[in-house]
Amino acid sequence: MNSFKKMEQFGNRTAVYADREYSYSEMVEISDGICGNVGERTLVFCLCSNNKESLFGYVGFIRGGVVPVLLDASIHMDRLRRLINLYKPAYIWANSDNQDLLKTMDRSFVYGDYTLFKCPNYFQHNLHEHLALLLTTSGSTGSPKFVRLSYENIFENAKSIAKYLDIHENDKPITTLPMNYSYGLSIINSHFICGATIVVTGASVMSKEFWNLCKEQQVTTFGGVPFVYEMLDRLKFEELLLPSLKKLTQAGGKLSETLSRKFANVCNQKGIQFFSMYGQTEATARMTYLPYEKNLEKAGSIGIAIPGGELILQDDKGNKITAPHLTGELIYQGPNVSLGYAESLFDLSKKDENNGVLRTGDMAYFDEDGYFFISGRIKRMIKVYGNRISLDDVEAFLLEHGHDCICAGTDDHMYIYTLRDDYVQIKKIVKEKLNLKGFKIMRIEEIPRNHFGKILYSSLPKHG
Amino acid sequence: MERVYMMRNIEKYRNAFINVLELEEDDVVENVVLGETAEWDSIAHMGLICEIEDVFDVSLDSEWMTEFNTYQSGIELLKRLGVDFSNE
Repeated sequence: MNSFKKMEQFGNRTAVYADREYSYSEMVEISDGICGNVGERTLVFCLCSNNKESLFGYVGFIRGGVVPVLLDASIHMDRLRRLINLYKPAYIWANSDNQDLLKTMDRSFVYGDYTLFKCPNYFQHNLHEHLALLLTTSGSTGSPKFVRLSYENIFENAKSIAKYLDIHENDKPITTLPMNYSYGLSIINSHFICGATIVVTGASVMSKEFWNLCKEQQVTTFGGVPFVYEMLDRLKFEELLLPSLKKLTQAGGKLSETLSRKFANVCNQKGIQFFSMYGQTEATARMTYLPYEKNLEKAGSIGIAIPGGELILQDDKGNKITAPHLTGELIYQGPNVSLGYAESLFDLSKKDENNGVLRTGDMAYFDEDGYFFISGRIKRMIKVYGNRISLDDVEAFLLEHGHDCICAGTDDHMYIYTLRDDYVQIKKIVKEKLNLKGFKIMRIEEIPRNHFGKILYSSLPKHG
Repeated sequence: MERVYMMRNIEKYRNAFINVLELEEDDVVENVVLGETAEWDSIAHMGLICEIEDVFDVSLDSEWMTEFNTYQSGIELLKRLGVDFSNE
């Protein structure tokens, strides 16, 4: 199932607004033109920003059976080179100004501001027939690990989302999240299968340009990670006049209880449907949603499984939990559960390793009405501005670069503890190579450990 | 009477950018643009707004926050709130 192959049915309807309107027919023609230059089913890196070139490239590759890896256009060149060596893409779809690519690769096709760069070393890929797309697991921790997604994953999830959000062809989302991020991409996919119009902009919600576009284009919906809602709160969202806005979604981490109640109240007053959702890239994007009618009564809940999915709780002995208010690991089953991970090009021929079952690594319980609540995480993972970051991965990365550090923290607040005076160097490589923000570095005298030598993360000093 | 060195408003303003965007003292701070300068993304924007509110003891409204997108525009917007940037 590849719903993008049926896009022609929307013909003259507007698919994209980016400085001007592009109809579905026009988008299909441009997209197929980009993909046609690749020619055969192979692997392509797509360096994404929220612009029409990235979007049309993605649509073309999916339609044409070329497997794209969606990467952030701001990716550090060292990391990009490492990924090129590991995965040997045939082409890279990127901004024509990319000096590093210009120096080493031939240009094979140009559309708008983007160029299809041909990689000099040809490699015959063995791609599994169901493999459609590769996404990074976390924003940028330098991990070369990708999530393998099938056509069924993408379009089953999109269909399910379109159903519970009741998406119509008259809906008009505006981009607020990167398209290479699973949540951002799911907004695009779920609207394109309905024939809706997507307003594409790189402008931040903190810019006048963004709100002018919302007004001019009569935007009806957008999504946001908790940080986006913190910005909206700061902008006094309650005072903004946007009569066309009908639906808001929130995912990518837990919104504080105060803010989720506040937005539920404000949205209910303004006649905006406010949905909280929960998902992971490992499940394409979304697994649960809280129906907007319940956003106050069940504030703080991740809601119920999306249509076609199922949630199960398992206790530490592996038994299914059937009573409310008992905590266990949250397990999701559904057609959107990814095929598995890839760590190099040799994994791209692998078959489905998850068989529709995902152990989320999150601890949860459900209440007497069957609404689920996340209570913690099994693995040492935090969300930093919507991206899942493994604290152990960051520690390993720093060790690889000669810094023996301990990482800890909570969502949006990562702490790096070092025993040496290497503050400046750590700050530089974490910023540049991992592209991480919002972390703090602290010098400590010794690492707190228990009798068994296990690190006592809870005994580490906290920042003020 | 002892002379106390008071930091001029323009210096306070420039320092706010250097601190929040983590720039170097000799960077051309005057040229930074929201969304174009890598360091000035949405996250840094929120940080800058908090810093400016603290440093100048002003309260910034949403119009201010969304119009503030270059080093220069911030100065103009602060002048409207009564901050004096002439040679004090």
